[in-house]
Amino acid sequence: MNDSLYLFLLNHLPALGQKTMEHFILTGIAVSGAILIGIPFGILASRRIMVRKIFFTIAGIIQTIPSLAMLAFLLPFLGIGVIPAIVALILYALLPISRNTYTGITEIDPSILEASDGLGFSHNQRLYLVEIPIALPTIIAGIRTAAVICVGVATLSAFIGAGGLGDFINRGLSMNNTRLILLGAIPSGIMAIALDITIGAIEHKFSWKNKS
Amino acid sequence: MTPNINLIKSLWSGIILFGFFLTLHQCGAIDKEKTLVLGCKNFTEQIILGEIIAQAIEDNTDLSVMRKWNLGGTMICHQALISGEIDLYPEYTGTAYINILNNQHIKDATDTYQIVQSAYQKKFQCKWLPPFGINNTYTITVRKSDAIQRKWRTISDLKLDSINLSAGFTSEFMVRHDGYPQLKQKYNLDFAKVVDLEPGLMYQAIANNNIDVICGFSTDGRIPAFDLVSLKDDLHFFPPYYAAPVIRLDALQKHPELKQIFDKLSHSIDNKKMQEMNLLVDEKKINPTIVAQNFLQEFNF
Repeated sequence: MNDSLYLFLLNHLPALGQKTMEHFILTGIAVSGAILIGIPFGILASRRIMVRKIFFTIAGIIQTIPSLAMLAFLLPFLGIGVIPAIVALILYALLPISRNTYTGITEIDPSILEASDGLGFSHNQRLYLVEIPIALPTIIAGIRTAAVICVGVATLSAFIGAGGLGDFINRGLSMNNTRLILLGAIPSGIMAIALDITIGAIEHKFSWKNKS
Repeated sequence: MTPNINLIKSLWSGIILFGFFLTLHQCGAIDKEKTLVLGCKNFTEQIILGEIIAQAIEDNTDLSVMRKWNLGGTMICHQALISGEIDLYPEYTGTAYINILNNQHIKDATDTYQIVQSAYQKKFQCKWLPPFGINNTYTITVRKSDAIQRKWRTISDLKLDSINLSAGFTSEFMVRHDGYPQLKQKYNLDFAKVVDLEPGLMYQAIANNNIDVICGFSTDGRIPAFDLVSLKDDLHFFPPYYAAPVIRLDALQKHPELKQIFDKLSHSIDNKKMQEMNLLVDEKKINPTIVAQNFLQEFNF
């Protein structure tokens, strides 16, 4: 703590780059995984009432499990390191993505669906040509929420040796070293804001209301 | 308008009532002259030690005790003590020597105790009371089966095998002066992989064969319970961490009757007893208050 801020940053720069990269990759993989699982389940939930009830109940319960308890629960099956961290993150990111997919699809004006049926679209055609494009901004908004949540929750991966910016935060907290805490907290804050703005811009671009 | 006025009226009376009870709660029945404020850090052993001290005081003097348990770490306890927010908390000689007084060179147990004793009297107007008898130092810990099979007895024995081993340490151990970076140099260790782990998950991870080496705490009951074994610190790397209550000098002068209680508690607990008590709370989920009560009964306090 006695050295200057400049020296502190200089000494930690290589580690900072590495931890930021780890953090970003963890978040990226987890959000991608949650998209691959969450969107199909969101669509299914809009078709089948049982899927909707069971899936959203489970996803909702998962959301309330504290992160440390989740990791302790996964440890006997998945061990430590990157894999349990990604699984935990996917589980937390699932709800916003699937919920928004479901909402986006169910809130489409019934007259639009009637029109597409009238044109003789098959189920698949209606899904890919009508429902998904109209629901897309809502789906992307869900991805945006999930991404921001993931950047925050990814600090938990430091508990099970998966690295990331949480390492700095935990080490700083344990030694009451504010600089070390901020070295982890500021970059993860910036990452969350940057992702929010970027995905927000994509969401805006796909918004069909802008095109009319 | 009438319902609005009623609403505001009831809101106001609510706030006033709340404030009234808050004041009552804050200054109510507490007699400052007759109250000792005790603190402790946020882990099991500290809460057990805190409860032992608190109940010993309550049972043997007419003082009342205000408990401020689970304070967030060494620095917060220390600041609370020197600013007079708390009168007493259990601390470890090595932690005071290294983390608070910023010393680097490791001394033996008696020297460490004497150095922190005189530094605390001069710098902070606080006094180290007689130690409990437990030494809660870091220990490099491995699975018992590995230790037997590969004939590991000391940390030096790990040197040749370390390239094939993965280690998991707490975040604190990764950055302390007496932590991993210096340990690695002293013992020439070169682990295949070293990761940060949460202290509770660390024991689970080694029992589950995810890692081979951890930094345990010598009074942690999970070491025997999870079939682990501590390796001997043959190069004397780790400082002694004898637990003792630290008290403000003014509180001790005001209540001289406390002295005989702490003399009686002196060397009353050994590491094995502490391991048992920690395990009761950590794994058996028994309330620390009850564990402390049973200890004092057994001890005929």
